[in-house]
Amino acid sequence: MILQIQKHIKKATFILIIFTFFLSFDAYAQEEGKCEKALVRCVIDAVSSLPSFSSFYIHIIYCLGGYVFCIKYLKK
Amino acid sequence: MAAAKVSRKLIFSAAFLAVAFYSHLLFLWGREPQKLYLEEVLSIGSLDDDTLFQWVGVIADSNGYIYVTDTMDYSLKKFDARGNLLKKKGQKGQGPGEFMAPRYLGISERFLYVTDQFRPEIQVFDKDLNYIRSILISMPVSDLKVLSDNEIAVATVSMTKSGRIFIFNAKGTIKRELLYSDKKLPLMMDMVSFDFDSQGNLYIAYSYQDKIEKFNPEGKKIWSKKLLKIKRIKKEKIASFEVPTRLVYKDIVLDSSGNLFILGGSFSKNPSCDVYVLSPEGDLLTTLTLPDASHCIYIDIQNFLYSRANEGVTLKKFRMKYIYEKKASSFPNELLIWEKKMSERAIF
Repeated sequence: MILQIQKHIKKATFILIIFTFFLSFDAYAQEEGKCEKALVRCVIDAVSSLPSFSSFYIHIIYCLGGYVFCIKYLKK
Repeated sequence: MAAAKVSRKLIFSAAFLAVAFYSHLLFLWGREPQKLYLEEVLSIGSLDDDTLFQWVGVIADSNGYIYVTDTMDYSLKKFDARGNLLKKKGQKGQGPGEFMAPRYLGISERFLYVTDQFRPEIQVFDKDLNYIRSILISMPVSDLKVLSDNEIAVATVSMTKSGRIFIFNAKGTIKRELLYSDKKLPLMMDMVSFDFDSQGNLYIAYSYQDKIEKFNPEGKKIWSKKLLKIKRIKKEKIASFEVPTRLVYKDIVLDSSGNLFILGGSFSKNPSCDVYVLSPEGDLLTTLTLPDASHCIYIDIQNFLYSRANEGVTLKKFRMKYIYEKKASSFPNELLIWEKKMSERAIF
């Protein structure tokens, strides 16, 4: 009986470790993609300023500026 | 006669001791530091209070006052040397003295200069945080150093006019451009952090290349160094732009002796924590590690180092402690701890 319980505890621990690993990996991936997602959103917004090429260009420059700051501030 | 002999002996002994002491000092001062440690002397803001929400820029004046941009609070804040908040200025907005995303700070004898991520200008404040004027800059600023009230050096994000530092006058007219790269590089690959020494030499740390460079005031390259031996920086295609996604160097600042402190990025052994200390000649003196990851470092005129903690909620101030190895044969394993307080005297 005791042996069976010990086996179950081992299994549960293993599952917990795997679960925690995937959870932490997912959190890391989300953190990693934050700046890239923001850049994509910003560029999509910039398209709305077309056909004025100069405002589109300025918008894109500010998108890149934001991206540069984002990875400097957020990424280790 | 005997008294004269005694006094001659005394003078001789005193002279001998003085020479020995002076040689000892020369021996110490001639040595490079083996290690550099940080001793925390001040911490502003914590997870339990709302002093700082997410600070970005920091600068200190000669009286020890500390100025900080708090981007999440849309404000500029002034602290005394003990870290007490004295004044706060700004709110979200596009008007004078307002901020959309306050970023970097510069300082002159009289004024503070504040950049904003989403405003094409540098706002000028006096040291009581009263808004004075704005200097129009048509491009987003990625780094800023104020040389004087009429010489504001700026690195920008640009797709056309890249590879240069712009020097603006007080009216926002470009006085001169310092070209550090004449090669047409892929997007963002020529972005830099920079600083000047007291002789006007320019030091740059590339954000996305393993390259630190020094230029003389005439713009001639003096040296170029690679610290991390990185051959290729990975790029990703994002929204049809191919951009680098990891920083090599995050910031570069000089201490009052002209030594360079370079904050490493993702490629460092301790990402965003390792600070490489180089001599003005480009020799690596030592490496120190910040206790927390930071986006920037700042060194004030008293050689206190400032960096980030708690992801921008906390600002830390450190005294730098140097350890010199003494190789005298009579003390083979002795380490001499030399506390470097540059407010008292410059050692190297």
